Amino acid sequence: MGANRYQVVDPPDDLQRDDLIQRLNENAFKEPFSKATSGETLGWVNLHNLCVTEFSSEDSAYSQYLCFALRVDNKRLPAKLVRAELELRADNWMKERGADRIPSRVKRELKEQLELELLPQQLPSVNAHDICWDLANHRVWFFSNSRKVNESFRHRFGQTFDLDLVPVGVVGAMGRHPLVDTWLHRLDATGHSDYRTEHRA
Amino acid sequence: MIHISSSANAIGEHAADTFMGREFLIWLWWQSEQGFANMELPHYGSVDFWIDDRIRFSTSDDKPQVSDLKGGAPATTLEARTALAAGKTIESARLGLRIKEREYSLEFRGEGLQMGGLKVPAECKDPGEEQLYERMFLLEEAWGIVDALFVRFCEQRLDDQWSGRHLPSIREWIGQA
Repeated sequence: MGANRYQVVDPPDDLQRDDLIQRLNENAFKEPFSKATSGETLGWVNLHNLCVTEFSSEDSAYSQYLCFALRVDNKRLPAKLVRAELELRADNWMKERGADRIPSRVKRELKEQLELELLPQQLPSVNAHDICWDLANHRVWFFSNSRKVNESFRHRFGQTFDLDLVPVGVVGAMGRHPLVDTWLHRLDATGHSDYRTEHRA
Repeated sequence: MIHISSSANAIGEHAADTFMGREFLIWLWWQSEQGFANMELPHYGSVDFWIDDRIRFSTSDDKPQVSDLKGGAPATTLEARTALAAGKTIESARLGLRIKEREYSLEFRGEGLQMGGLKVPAECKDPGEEQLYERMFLLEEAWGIVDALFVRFCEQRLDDQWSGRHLPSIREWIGQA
């Protein structure tokens, strides 16, 4: 499994679990309005089943954790198939009219028509990435290492809960060490070390 | 020491995120060859750690040169130590961790301290609440150990004696290749 850790920025003192679950329901995954829609669709789904888009305490809250998943659907037509089909239709259009060229406007219309016919037959690629929100420590685990998916997740999380997430980097990993203030001060003034053996500082 | 200006948010992103994780991996490798690859860590006790079967080196410039060593024990090869001597740093490495009877394997990326490909000693096979708690326990333990090792690194790296004592020792170790 690949996981990234985030810290909630300025979390309110009174995070209400019921409010969070309501926000999940309001921002749950929704199928696109039309089956002829291409591109990405995303939203929250149940941790245990990516087809379940209703949330309750019983299936989302476990001790201090709120668990759900981000479903990301992506519908794309196979480019080679579209190109081949379009070529046949363009040839037919020219034969029917005895033309030796096809205007680009007509070719664009043929392509749009073709996509409208093919998209409803095409299933999207479907992925779901688990999320575990530790409400006690304001940490969020997101189970994906894809940079793009992580960006989508942070954006969606911010939209849904009105809370920002920052990755737990060097500063977060220092934790509550008694020297952390001194370290942060030094970190601000330091740069990377040169480990080359011929180098002498 | 090469200085850059950096600034911290209250939590999270810091300019040092780009290099501290890479240096941590070098330090971890060096440490694993100093003290029987074992350390006493607060809260966890005795933990074994080692560089496992993959190290990916790169230079930090715009067009990075990459050396990706896979299989066997790449940390023991001349090629690996030579990459460090030539100024490459560790972009990512597969780490092994052992605490009591539990063994973890994970791909650690230096930049941003990211973890991927985590293999945990999970026992619960039934999907449900018990599996979720087990998974979170193991995940938090693996990350907690890495954090504790990172704190150990910070104790040396951000200490006054870094340039005069620790860094020369690491250079000497690299130079033994």
